[in-house]
Amino acid sequence: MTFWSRLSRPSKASAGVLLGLGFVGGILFWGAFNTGMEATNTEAFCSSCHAPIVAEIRETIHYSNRSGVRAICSDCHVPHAWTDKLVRKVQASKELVAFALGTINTPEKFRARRGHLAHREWQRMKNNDSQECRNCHNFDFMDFSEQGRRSITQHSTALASGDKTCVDCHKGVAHRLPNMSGVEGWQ
Amino acid sequence: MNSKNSVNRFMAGLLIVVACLLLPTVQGQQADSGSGMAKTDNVTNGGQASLRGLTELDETREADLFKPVPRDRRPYKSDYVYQPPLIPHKIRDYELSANANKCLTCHSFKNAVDSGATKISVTHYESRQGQILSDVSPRRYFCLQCHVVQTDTRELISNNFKPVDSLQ
Amino acid sequence: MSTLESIFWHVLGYATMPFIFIVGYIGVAAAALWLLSLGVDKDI
Repeated sequence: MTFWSRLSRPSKASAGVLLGLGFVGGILFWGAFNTGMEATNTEAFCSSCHAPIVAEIRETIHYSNRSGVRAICSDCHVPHAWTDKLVRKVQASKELVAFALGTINTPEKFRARRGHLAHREWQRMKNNDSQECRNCHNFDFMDFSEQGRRSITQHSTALASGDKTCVDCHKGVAHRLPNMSGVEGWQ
Repeated sequence: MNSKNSVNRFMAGLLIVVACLLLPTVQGQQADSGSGMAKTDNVTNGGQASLRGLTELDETREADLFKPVPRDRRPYKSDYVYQPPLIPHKIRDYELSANANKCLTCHSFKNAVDSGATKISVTHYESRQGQILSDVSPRRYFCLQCHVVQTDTRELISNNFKPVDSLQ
Repeated sequence: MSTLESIFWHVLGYATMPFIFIVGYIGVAAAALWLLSLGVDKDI
């Protein structure tokens, strides 16, 4: 146990040196860890398995629009708060198993499972009151006078009172939809 | 003559031989791509001008500019009886596929009451044989086959069409 | 996701954070001790 004996005994090095080692070591560890986690948040990383789904966003307003602001996968699918993000990342380790088993590795398999996956994500969004939508679309700063009649009607009633959350109506805003029969509000 | 020089000469010779072998292949490929082109000399549209102007079949016409789609407003008046009503709002990203029909989330009989949208007419529930079905008939499911978004643009061909008196 | 599965993943998710801190501490300590062993602490 050389490691433990070294760790538990006083060092000959000065306190300044020891503090410095801890300080620099801490920065390096934290930097490397966070960089690694951010690397799993990039569109390129998502595309390495989910390429066809990532491509679907290109037709939608979240990719192509007049002002050039766009969302990438992690903006909507990964919480932004650090603790929630870490929890979600650990939960996502389940997807590595699905990747190894090849659960959705062909378009046919993916189509068959698409409804299941979509429902799971909608449920997640519903549970956290569409937090990832609200990271950009803040209700407090919505100017109803700039919205269409239909938008005003919905936003000033159901959304304002908290009866409904974004994802209740705004499904498929960045992807194509699965079979919607049986989904509330659809046919 | 030293050995280094002979190696150089050998390499140069090898290059020439390889080049000679490759050359016919490259030429062959060029010839192939040339003969693969379809003959388009006698393809014409017979000189017929359509609303899109005079464009031969083998040319691609420059696309029109997108028409600005106005935001929610009153629907324009119908110009003739049985005209499919125009869509008076934006429909970008409204999915209309075998999986989902975004239009019906407001305009179906069930949802129109809550949404305040115009209800689709009963004719949409009729099968081709005139039988009334329990849900929207597959032949009427794809809304955009008949209904289009209204937009304030010039007519494609100037004309003096007038709606009948009852619609004026 | 079933309730059991959801609980399982949440416990695992929140347990990760202290785990990462401890691993980071041990990693930095190991690196620092190795550096020290090159110089002043050699005779321990």
